[in-house]
Amino acid sequence: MTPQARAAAAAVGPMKITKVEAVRFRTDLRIQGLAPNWFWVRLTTDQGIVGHGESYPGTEAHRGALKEIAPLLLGKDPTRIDRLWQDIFYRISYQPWGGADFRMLTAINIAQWDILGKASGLPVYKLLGGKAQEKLLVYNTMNGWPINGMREHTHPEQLAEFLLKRGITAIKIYPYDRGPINALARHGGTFISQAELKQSLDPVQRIRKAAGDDMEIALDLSSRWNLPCSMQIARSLEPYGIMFFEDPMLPDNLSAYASLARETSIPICISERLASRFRFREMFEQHAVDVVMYDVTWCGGISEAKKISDMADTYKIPSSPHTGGGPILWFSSIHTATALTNFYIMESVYHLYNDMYPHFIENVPVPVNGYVTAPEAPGLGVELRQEALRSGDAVIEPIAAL
Amino acid sequence: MQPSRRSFLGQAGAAMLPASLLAAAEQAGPMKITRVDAVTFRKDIHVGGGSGGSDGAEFCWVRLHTDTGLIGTGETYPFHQGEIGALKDYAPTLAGKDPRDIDGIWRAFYHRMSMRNAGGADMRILSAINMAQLDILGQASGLPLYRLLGGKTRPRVRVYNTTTDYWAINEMKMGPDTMRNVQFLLDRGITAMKIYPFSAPDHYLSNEALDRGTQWIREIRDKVGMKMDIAVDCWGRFDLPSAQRIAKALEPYNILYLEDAMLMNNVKAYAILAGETSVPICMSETFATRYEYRDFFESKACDVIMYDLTWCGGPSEAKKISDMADTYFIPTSPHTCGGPLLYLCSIHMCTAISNFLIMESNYWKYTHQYPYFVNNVPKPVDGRVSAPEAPGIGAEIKPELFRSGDAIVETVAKV
Repeated sequence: MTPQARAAAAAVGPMKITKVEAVRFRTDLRIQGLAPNWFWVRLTTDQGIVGHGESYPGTEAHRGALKEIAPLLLGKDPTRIDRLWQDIFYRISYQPWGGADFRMLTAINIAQWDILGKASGLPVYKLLGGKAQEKLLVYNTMNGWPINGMREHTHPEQLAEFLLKRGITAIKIYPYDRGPINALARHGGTFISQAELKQSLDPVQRIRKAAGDDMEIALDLSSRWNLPCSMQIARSLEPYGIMFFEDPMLPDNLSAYASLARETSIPICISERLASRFRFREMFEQHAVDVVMYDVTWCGGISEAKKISDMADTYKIPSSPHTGGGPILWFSSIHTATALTNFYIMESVYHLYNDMYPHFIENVPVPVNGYVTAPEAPGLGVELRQEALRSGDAVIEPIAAL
Repeated sequence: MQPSRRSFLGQAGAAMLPASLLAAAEQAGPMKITRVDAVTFRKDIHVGGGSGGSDGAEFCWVRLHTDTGLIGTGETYPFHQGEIGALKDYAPTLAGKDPRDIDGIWRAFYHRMSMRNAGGADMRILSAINMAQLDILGQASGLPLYRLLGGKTRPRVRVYNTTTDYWAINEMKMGPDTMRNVQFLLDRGITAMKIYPFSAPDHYLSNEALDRGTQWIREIRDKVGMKMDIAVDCWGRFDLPSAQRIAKALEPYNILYLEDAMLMNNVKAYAILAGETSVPICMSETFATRYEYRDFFESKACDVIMYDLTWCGGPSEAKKISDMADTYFIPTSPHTCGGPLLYLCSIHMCTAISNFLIMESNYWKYTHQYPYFVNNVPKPVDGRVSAPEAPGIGAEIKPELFRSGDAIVETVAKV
């Protein structure tokens, strides 16, 4: 070993987790009228390195689950990423696993990657395989995040113009559970009439008319529909060159998705509602999907996301990470996606990177001409805004310590 | 204007319905959840009784109070900080609801938690809420729970004893005390047991460890022949080749079932195992919801199903799972190694379902642990237990728990 290599190895030498903390946010805090809805996990090591992880929403269940899992972390080497993942996973899979328990495992995994990156002096994407993508193409999700008061069903033309001006060439909209038609609210996802099918197309048609083929359109259906409604909706969208059709049904019957995927030429995308490589494997094997979406702060963490994408690659299925959560999700997704050979397009939300994240983070990556790039600082490279901690907007809560 | 229930009965129904039915309809009038309480237990409770390791309460309770005065109690375990946290998240939407709207409330919560991978603490607390709702429905209708689940398909429910070192019978250990355990059970008419003969540091089970574990079973068969049914549980720890070798080693012994030989996360691996061996494969209290079980039925990946009523989505979900399993001729063997309400509620379920095989029980729990919390714990007679006849779950929860400081009550939502 060269002296440099030995010094580097020493830096990542034995390390112990000495403290587990939660970071929560003032419940009455509003940024542009919206509340931060995430939750951070902070791992401190005996070498003074601090790693941050995240999941959401910021619930009591997460805090409770973290208290249950924290004793498994104290004294452990945070760089043993896969081992600790498996130990926690086995602990929580004596019972039906998932939910808050699994999301805390996810947040812990992200904090471990942050620590490994800081200890080795490398940005996380370099530990995941390096720069497979120079920059990441993003789309903008509307959902409950209007831009300057413009919503998808009130100002579809102006929204398309606003995004195109900034070089953002793809948008995700929710015509079936938002707006004046809201067929979901009328029938609860069990039925859709011919009139509702036609009227729900309004924002799609208006964006196409205003922006032509310059704007890609994805649709999200929030997993509330049954199989025949999903088929009818997909059929009605066939003429519009849809980028992907996301989550029409709950992903708890992948044969139903396989039936839908056979019926339509629109690429099917599911689902940030799934977690672990085990569940995604089944989805690939069933030919139930064309584009894979996961949420790095729900699916089991950065490790699990990478494993899922690498497996998807063997089916020629590309990855489109879900990022509609907090800032560490945004950073973690950028690192993960940068290292993916089968990257497709990544979610982004104008309100979040423009208004919400900068309240907490100094160096938020912002799309330039429709692309974001990964930060080069070690670990996740997140620079917390100390003012948010000083002001009481963010509150550190002790969970467990050696 | 929508006619109210009362005016509808008055106008359209009064002429047709007999007075007794009208009275019943009045009784079944509107009901609202007014308060949601979390009940946890002091950490230093010592039940005693020679369990070998386990002692206090690993479970927690959810109590739903209604404006009619009825109180329903549900249960789950074992990570109550996460579970009560989840209860705090969900309880505000429960307050004001009619607790008898069982499937609607279940579906709304399931959709909500499915936004981000249902399961874990969220699913466990939904299970507890569902149990409390059914407890209220039973009390409101004056019927024991099993009557609401389809009635008395069998008067008595056969049990096996889960025999482990930490829930031991009078500190007896498997291995050194295998035959003392077996005789103790047979003397009480209990003719089935579940054991954990195989363990390894990782996913591979060595030939030596495999043989050492099989020796327990050989000894039982040599000494008492086929008088004792034997189920083997592996806690989901092995890889496929080790699971295949375990099944092969068990072939000669007429095993009741082999449970959780691998993690439950690959239905095809289980289909391979089930296709290769004549040992019935049992899956798994680590599943929740009919959606997860369905896949195993379709793929011929299991022969017996196990669920835990306080984990799988609650009694109403368990009933749906059993009914679906029945269409595949797959019988049910519920997991009950939790708290007393799980045990009582499981007896109700097993009394009613058409495809019952055998129910789990644990001597230390029903002899020492459950009676610490509940007065009327059914104990096996001739290896069988019967459901209580009181309305709802019918648990006589000890009032002194709430005076002694053993039970810690926290109100998490209120109208």
